[in-house]
Amino acid sequence: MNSEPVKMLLVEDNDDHVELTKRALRENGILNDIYVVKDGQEALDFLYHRGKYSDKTKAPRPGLILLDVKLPKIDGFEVLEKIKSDPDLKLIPVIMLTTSSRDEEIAKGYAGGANSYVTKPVDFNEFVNKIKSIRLYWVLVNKLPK
Amino acid sequence: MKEQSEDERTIERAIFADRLARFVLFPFLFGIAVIAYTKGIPYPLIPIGIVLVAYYITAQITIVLIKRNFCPKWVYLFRLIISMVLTAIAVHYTGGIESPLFILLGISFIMSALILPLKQSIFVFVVGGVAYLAEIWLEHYGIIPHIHIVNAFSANAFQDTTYLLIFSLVIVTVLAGMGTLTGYLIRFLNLQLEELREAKTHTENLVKVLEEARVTLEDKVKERTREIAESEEKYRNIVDKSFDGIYIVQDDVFKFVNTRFEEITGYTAEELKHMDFRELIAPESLELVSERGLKRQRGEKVPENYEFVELRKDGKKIDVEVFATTINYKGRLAVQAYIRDITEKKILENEIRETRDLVDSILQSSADAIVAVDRKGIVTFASKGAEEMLGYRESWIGTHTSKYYAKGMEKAKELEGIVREKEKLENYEIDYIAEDGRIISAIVSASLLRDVNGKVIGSLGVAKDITEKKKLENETREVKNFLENIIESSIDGITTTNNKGVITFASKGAEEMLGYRREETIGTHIYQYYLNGREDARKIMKVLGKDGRLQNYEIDIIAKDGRIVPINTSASLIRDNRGKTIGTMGVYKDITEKKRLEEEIRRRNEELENFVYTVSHDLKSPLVSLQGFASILLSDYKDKIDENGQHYLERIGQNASYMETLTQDLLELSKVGRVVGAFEKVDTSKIIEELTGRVQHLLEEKKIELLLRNHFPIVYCDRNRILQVFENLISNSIKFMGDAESPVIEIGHTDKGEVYEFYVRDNGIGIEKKYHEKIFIIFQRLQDLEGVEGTGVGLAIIKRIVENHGGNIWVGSEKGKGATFHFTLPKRNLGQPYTLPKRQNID
Repeated sequence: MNSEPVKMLLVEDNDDHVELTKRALRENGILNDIYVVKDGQEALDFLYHRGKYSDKTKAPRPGLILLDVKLPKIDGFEVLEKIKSDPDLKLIPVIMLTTSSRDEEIAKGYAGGANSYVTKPVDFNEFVNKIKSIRLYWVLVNKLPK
Repeated sequence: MKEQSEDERTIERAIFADRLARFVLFPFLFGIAVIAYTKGIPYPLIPIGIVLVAYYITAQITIVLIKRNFCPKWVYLFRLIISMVLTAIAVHYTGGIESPLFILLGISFIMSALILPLKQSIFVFVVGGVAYLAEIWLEHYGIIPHIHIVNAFSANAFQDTTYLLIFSLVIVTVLAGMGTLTGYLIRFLNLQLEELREAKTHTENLVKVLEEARVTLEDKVKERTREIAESEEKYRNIVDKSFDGIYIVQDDVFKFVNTRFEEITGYTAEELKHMDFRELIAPESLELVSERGLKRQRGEKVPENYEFVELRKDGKKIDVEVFATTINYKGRLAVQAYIRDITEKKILENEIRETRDLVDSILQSSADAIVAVDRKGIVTFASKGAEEMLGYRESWIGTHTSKYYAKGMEKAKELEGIVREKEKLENYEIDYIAEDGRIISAIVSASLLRDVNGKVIGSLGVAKDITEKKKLENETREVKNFLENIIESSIDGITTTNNKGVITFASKGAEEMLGYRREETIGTHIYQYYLNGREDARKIMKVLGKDGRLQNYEIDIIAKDGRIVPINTSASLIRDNRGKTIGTMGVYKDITEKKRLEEEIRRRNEELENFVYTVSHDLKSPLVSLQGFASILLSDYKDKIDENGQHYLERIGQNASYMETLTQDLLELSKVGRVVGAFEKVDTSKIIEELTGRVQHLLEEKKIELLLRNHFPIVYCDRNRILQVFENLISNSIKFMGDAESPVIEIGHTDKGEVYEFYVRDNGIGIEKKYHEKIFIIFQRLQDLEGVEGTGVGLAIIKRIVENHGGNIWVGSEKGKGATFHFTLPKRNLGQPYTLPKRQNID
């Protein structure tokens, strides 16, 4: 067991949402290091230590990925597909975050191997409640092999 | 004796008479001449000489003529007359010695009588008498000089030696004449005698010949007897071995039987000898045979040849044929008969009869008309089929075939010609005329009929009535024309191919659609018109081969001008009567325009999709932020913001939430048009049940009574969408119940034939009539519905759902009197209300 706290990667282009998500995580007592990238390309660079993330210490392997669906450059589903098709990365749980509640998007996320799918509700309190479910993964992630 | 002909006798007589005359006349005249000369009496020697010469010449001519057989009788008569005349002349010149002349005349008469028939004798006598009387009369009247030689002598002439001499001469002459006559008589008698002698000799010869013949005959008889004796055995064998039984019956008893007869009867010859012939006759034939036997014995005429039944010794009856005659047997009448066992023949006859009956019944039972005619075209047989086909009531036999042809004798001649030339007629179509005048079409086959020797005796024809068939053919043709017209007037293209994919037909529609003239396409392979050639053909045939049909298949065709024409085709296999596939038929439409519209729709849908995406993400994102930050502001800075500020923050949050609902509804509405679930049989009572459960707490809370009017039907629909309709209507009713004293919501339906009409009724606040249309339009909220949540999209959504199901929705209401929402759903499955055209998947 490694006692080092698990890092979390949040892929989100909307700064407001980054702030709100961080707040919601905090309110749920999840205080781990959260690395934030702005788009799908950056997310992949982060995971593969490319470009500005070539320094592994600045881009550690995350234990959990919160992935927004609608992203510039490379969208969330594409990133999800890359992750899940990589034998090394596919064990990392991915929770999709989206503002859309369209059924087909939800189905698409699960089909792509997402471990959970969270619709961002307009009501912030509700959002906080939903993030609570992430804690389940949190426990799980803490037990996962690195 | 030689028979003399009448003419020969006449000749003979003529010669005889002539000689007689010469013998009498010549010596007489000669004597007179001598006496006159010696006495110196002038005597007309020259006339006498002329008479004699004339006499001689005529005699010779007569003889020659008679010998030449030139009318001997008449020549002779003429000769006699000449003789008389000449004699008369001679007598005149000798001086009228009437007496001797008279004698001469008498002799002539006698001779004439002897040799001539009476009439001719009389004639001669008359002529002679006339000649004599003429001489006397001529002298008397001095026409001729009277010469009386006797007068030249003295009166006592008788004393005169000269006279005596003359007289003697006369006597001698007479005697000589008599002598000659006698001589001739004798000669005549001798002739008779000669004949007798000849006859005698002849008889004697005959006797001699007969004797010789008798001897020879005797020898021959002996020889023959020996031969007969030799061959008797042979003949007996023949008789015994004869195929026929032979017997002789006399006095009712068998006098003779041959071996064959023993075999036929089963009795031995010895047994038969003691038997009455009737014992061999079977009882049924006894009367006939006895009667004939009796008659025959009485010599009456009875048939010689007849059949009867014979009784054998072993009691078996056999059919026999008998040929019986009467013969003289040992001096008395007997019956000789030949008998033949005809059992076999009878069997054969029966077989022939049965065969004939069979053939007859076959011919008669045939539904076809069978008619036999002789060489002249006269009917000798007509089957029942023939009679029924044409309906003639009187017999056909003996009538001429021309009677039955619509074209009469002309047709009969034509057919006869063909049959004579080709010896048969095959499947020839002929129109007959029935008794009632109808024309009956028939297919005829005929062949020559021959007897056992191969000689043509007529012909046999079989005719099949094809009137019905022809009628059917006509009808079929009409139907065909009808169908062809339909096909030709169809705007759709219709093309048929054979089993190999070669085009056999292309409709006018096809020509116009693709620009090929049908003459160009018929006979070519269909694949060459497909954009993907054989590959397309293979795909189509795969489906056709499996299902027998292909529906709404879309394929690209190359038109004549090179355009690529997308078509929608439905094809099926063409089968013959026995179900065997003989080709394919495709009906197709030019869907270029449809394709274009589809593309347009697809593009619009894409735009809509983008719009929806934008709405659900980009419009919602700021709301999330807005609400989030407002919420955080309220919780984190609660003590720093006064009550008014807090109220505003809450309003911001509420508006953000409303905005979210609004986008949510918009998305829902867009989905209704684009996304449709599968249609299935749905029990609407189950839907009502489910909804009742969901709204139960709301009903209880507002004390609303829910009335379900009847059992709900099963409809074919998208379950979730119809549930949404009911849910929306029920929740609207709850929402707009207002302050009714005893709030009631009633749900029911009525059967309207083709559709079910559902209704949801409440006694709530109601809707003003002017809004009845408006409420179904998006975002049209009624202003005075304060305190009621709603975006104004709900009714628009359910209107679209109902319409997509082929139904209608409307409201019946008045302000303050509640509202009733009606909507209809068709009973029949109308199929998917709207789907993007999908290509039939055939790979």
